[in-house]
Amino acid sequence: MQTAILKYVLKACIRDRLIISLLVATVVAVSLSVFIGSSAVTEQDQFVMVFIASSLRYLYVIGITLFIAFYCIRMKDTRELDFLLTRPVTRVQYVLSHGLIFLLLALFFSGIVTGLLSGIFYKKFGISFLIWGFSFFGELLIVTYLAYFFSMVLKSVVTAALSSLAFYTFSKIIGQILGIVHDPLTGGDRPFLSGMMEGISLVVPRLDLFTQNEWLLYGAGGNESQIFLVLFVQTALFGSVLIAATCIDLLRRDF
Amino acid sequence: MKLYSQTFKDHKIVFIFFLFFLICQGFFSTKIQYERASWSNVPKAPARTAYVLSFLGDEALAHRVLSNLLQNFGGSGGRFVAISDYDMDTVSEWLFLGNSLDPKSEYLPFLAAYFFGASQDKEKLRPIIAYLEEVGVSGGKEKWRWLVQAVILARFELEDTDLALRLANKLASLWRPGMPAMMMQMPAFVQLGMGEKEASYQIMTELLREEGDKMHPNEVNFMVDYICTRLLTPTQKESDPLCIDVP
Repeated sequence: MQTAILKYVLKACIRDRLIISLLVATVVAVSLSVFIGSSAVTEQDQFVMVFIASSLRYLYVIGITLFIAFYCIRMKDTRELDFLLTRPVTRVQYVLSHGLIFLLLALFFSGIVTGLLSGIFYKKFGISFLIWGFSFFGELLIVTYLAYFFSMVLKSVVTAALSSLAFYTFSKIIGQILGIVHDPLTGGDRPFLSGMMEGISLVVPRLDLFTQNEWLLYGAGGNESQIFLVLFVQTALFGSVLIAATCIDLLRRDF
Repeated sequence: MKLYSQTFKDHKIVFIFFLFFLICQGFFSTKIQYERASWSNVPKAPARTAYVLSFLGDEALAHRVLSNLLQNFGGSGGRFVAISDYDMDTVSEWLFLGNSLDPKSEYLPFLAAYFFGASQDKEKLRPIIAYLEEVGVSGGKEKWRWLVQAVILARFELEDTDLALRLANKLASLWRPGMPAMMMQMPAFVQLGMGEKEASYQIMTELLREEGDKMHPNEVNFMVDYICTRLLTPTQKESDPLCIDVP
C-alpha cells in the first residue's frame, strides 16, 4: 500500500508539472544569475554563485510549498483522502508514506541544485559544497513537512501556503531576532517582549543556520562535522515533530 | 443585438474599446519615452539588522545585492551621474554596512579604491579613505593592500600629507616578516616629496610585482590601466614593458 501511495504522489508531481516547472524555472534563474553576476566589475564568480544559490533556494521552497498545498487540499476536496483511507492502510502509515515520498522529493531537488552548483563551480568544489547541499536538503525537508502539516490542518490552499511560507520566513529570521534580544544595548529594553521571543524560538527551527552561502564562498572553516551534526539534529527533530503533529491531526479528524 | 447574447459578434464594441485604449497606451508611451526617475542622490544606509532581515537573514546575498546596488547607483536606466555628485558620506555608510556583511570579500574595497576613488571632487574622498583605512587594518588576509590604496588617495589625490603619513605609519606597523618591504618604506615614500606620478608609479609597480599573483585579474588590469593611462605620459607608456598590451 505504501508503494501505491508513493506512486500516487509521484503521479501528482507529474500531473501538476512540478518537476518540469521547477527545472524550467531553474534554467531561467541560473541564466538571470549569470547575467546579473557578470555585470560586477570583479568577483563575478562569487556574485553568480550567491545569486544562483539564493534564487534556487527560494524557488524550490516556494515551488514545493505550493505543490503540497494544492495536492493536499485537492485530496480533501475531491474525497480522494477518504477513499485512500478506506484501503488497508492506517492513518499513521498514510502520513509516514507521505513523509517518505516528500523526503525523496527533497533529496531529488536538493541533489539537482547541489549538482548544478558543483558542476558550474567545479574548480571551487569542496566539502563545504556538500555541507551546503545537505543543509538545503534539510531546509527543503522541513519546508515540505511544514507545508504538509498546514495543508492537512487547514481547509484553504491560500491559508495553507501562506502559513507555511510565513513560518518559513520566521524560521529564517529567528537568528536575527535572537540577536536583537541578546544585544546588550537593546535587548534589555523590553524584558517581556524579549522573553516572549525567546520562548517562541524554542519551537521554531533555526533555519537561519541552514544554506549559508558563506560555505560556498569561503568554506566551512574546518567545522564541517560540527555543522553537519547541528543540521542533522535540527532536521531530524523538527521533521519528526511535524510528522507527529500531522499524524495527531489526522487521527483526531472525523470523516 | 440579442438580449443576453454571449457571442463576440454581438459585442464588437468591446474590440473597438480594446483597440482604442491600446492606441492611447502606445501614444502615451511615446510621450514619456525620455522620462527618467529622479536622482535624489545616494539614500542613507539602513540599519544592519533591518537590512539583513529583508534578505531573510542571508548575509551573503544581502552583501552581493548591496554591492551591485552601489556599483550601479546613479548609473542605471539610461541616466549617468558624475561620481563627484555622489554624497560620499552616505556612500561610505553603505560601504561600512557591506563590509560588516562579508568582511572577506574584496569587492567593496575594490569599488571604493578604483571607482569612488576616481571622484573629481577630491575633498569628498575623506570618507572613502576612512573606509579603506578600516578595511586595511582589519587584519584579514592581504587586506593591508587597501591601506596602501588609502595612502595613495590621501597623498596623491587629496594631497593631505599629514593624513597620508598617519596612514603610512599605520601600514608600516602592520609589517611582519614575509610581507612586502614596501609596507615599511611607505612613510618614506610619503615624506620624500617626490613628484606625484613618480612616487605613485613606484608604489603601484612594487605592489604589482610582489602581490600581483594574489590579486584578482580585474584588479591587476585596473592597476595596469591606472599606471599606463594616468601616471605615464604617452612617450613613457610606449617604452614601458608593463604597457605593451594597453591600447
